[in-house]
Amino acid sequence: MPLDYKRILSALAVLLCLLLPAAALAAKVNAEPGIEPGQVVVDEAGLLDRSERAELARHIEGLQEKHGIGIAVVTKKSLHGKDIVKYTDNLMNQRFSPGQNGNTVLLIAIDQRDFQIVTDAKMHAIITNDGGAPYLRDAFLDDLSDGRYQAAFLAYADTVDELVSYYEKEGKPFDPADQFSWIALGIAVILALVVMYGVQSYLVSMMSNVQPGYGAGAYLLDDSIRLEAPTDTFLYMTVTRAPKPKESDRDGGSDIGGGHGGIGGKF
Amino acid sequence: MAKTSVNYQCPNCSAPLPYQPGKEKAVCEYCGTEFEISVLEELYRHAEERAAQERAAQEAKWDTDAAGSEWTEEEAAALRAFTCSSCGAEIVSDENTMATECCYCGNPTLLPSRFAGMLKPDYIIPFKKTKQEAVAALKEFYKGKYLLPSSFTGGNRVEAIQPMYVPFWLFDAEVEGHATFRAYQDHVFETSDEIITETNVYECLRSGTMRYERVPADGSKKMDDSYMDSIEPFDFSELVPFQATYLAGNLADKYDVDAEAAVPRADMRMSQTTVDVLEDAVTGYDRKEIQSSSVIKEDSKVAYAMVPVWILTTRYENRPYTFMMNGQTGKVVGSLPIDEKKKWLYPSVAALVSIPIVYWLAKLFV
Ligand SMILES: [Zn+2]
Ligand SMILES: [Zn+2]
Repeated sequence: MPLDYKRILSALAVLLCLLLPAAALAAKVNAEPGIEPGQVVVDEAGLLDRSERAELARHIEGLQEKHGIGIAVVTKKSLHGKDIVKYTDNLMNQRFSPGQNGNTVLLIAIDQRDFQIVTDAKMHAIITNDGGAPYLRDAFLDDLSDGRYQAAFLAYADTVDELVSYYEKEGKPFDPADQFSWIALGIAVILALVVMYGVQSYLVSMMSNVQPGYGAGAYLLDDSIRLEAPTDTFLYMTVTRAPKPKESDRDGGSDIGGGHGGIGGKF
Repeated sequence: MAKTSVNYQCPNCSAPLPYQPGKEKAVCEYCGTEFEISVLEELYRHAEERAAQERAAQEAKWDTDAAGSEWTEEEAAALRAFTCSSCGAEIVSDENTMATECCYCGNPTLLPSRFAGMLKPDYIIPFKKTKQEAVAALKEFYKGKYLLPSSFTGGNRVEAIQPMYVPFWLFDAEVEGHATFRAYQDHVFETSDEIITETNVYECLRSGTMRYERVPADGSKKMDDSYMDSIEPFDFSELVPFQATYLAGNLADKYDVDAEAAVPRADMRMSQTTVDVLEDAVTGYDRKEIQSSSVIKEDSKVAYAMVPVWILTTRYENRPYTFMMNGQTGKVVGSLPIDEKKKWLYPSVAALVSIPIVYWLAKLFV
């Protein structure tokens, strides 16, 4: 009995038509899984193990309660080219805004090694573009770059805690310009020593005007100078190559619209 | 005659650069720089020329014999010489002037000695500044010297002030200078991840002639060379032919550095300035450095002159301090004592004041 190719083909076509939307649906579900209400750690990229996830979540929940704020850490394998700032901001607006006193989300896109923090209007007033935002980033970026994800996420949460506590206590946002800086003091002391040395050298040099003579310029008859035509010969060329200093991403945070703020970069 | 085996040196790194016959270019095995053989040959030729010029420079001698002249018997008879029993300084004066104390060490015992062994100067610059002017100029010199001990000016008196004619050899010459410079031109451009600097290296030869007149070198060992350099310049256009009458009432230092011995200092000063003039003619480059130079003097002449100097001595904490004033222009030179407390106090105050200011500035950047 001859095989009925037509029937088999049409059956396959029907099957395909049924399966494709299901596959697409499955992919969609995988990309944007449902986030349970109250969940603060969403580790889609699988950077943490189960116990780390639990510990981080417990820690963040404690801080949320303490300040009435929202903190969330989200890791993704890829954003598939979506704008990370908009994406993270939307995510915060839709999923992670439990706090009365402000909310922030840290999102990691592991394929491009991008990180992004967003803050809502209240949190943005606490973590300012030039003050808290770079301070917060610098607190976890090294750990993040070195792959110590748990340490980086804990540092992020603890630094948010620190900045919010500072705001509650001082009534104004953290600003490194207000803080005492040992580095600046060190620079000041070193430069003061340079000033001291310079002033002393100058004062001592005033005490004597005795110095060996140089040259006989005072006795050269200027109009007697006759120069011959110069001879300049090209000898050779050398080439030196120096790697360009990497563009520093050490600037501050920025406004991202609607009173929200953000800071991000590569790690 | 063609050289059979020329081994060049790499002009960039000085490594041996073997000659490859029949090739137009040579590449250094060590630094990888490429050279035209014709350029290397030219460099080699220039170096040989320079060596010849250096030989010529060494052969050119000053005619020092013509400097100074003999005294007449009458003139010599009217002069007296004194020798300091302490420091050995020899001082000359006319018969009516007594040197009472040594102007170098303050020793009051000066032994008369036979006047001899000193040529008659060709020229002299007579004193134009008086004793009062010298004292006033020294007071002025103290002003604005913050580290001067307060007791120095308070209890201070000028212990001795003496007019002294100091012997100088004056060198005239037409010089021919040759110098080789290495000059560099940088072209910097950037790619997306590198900064590339291309440096073109040139050999620049500069030659020229110029004339110096009356380059001075003092003829006294007792006079500190640095003091004598610092007291310059003298306006040698006011030189007048020497006459013994100018010595009346003044002292003169008997030279103990003859013209021949003063030559190296004069040579050095002329060479420095000649090379500077040639270096100024190397323009259009980012950097330059001198490789070699030779300065050949021609048509040279040496004269012997006396120039006027006021020597002021004062004592502070048992140490003599000597100041000198140019007896023609009034310029004072000298080294003042330093108050050790003030030396540390003032700079410390400046440092303490600057700390908060610098801290505040540093905060803007860290
Ligand atoms: Zn080389
Ligand atoms: Zn003496």
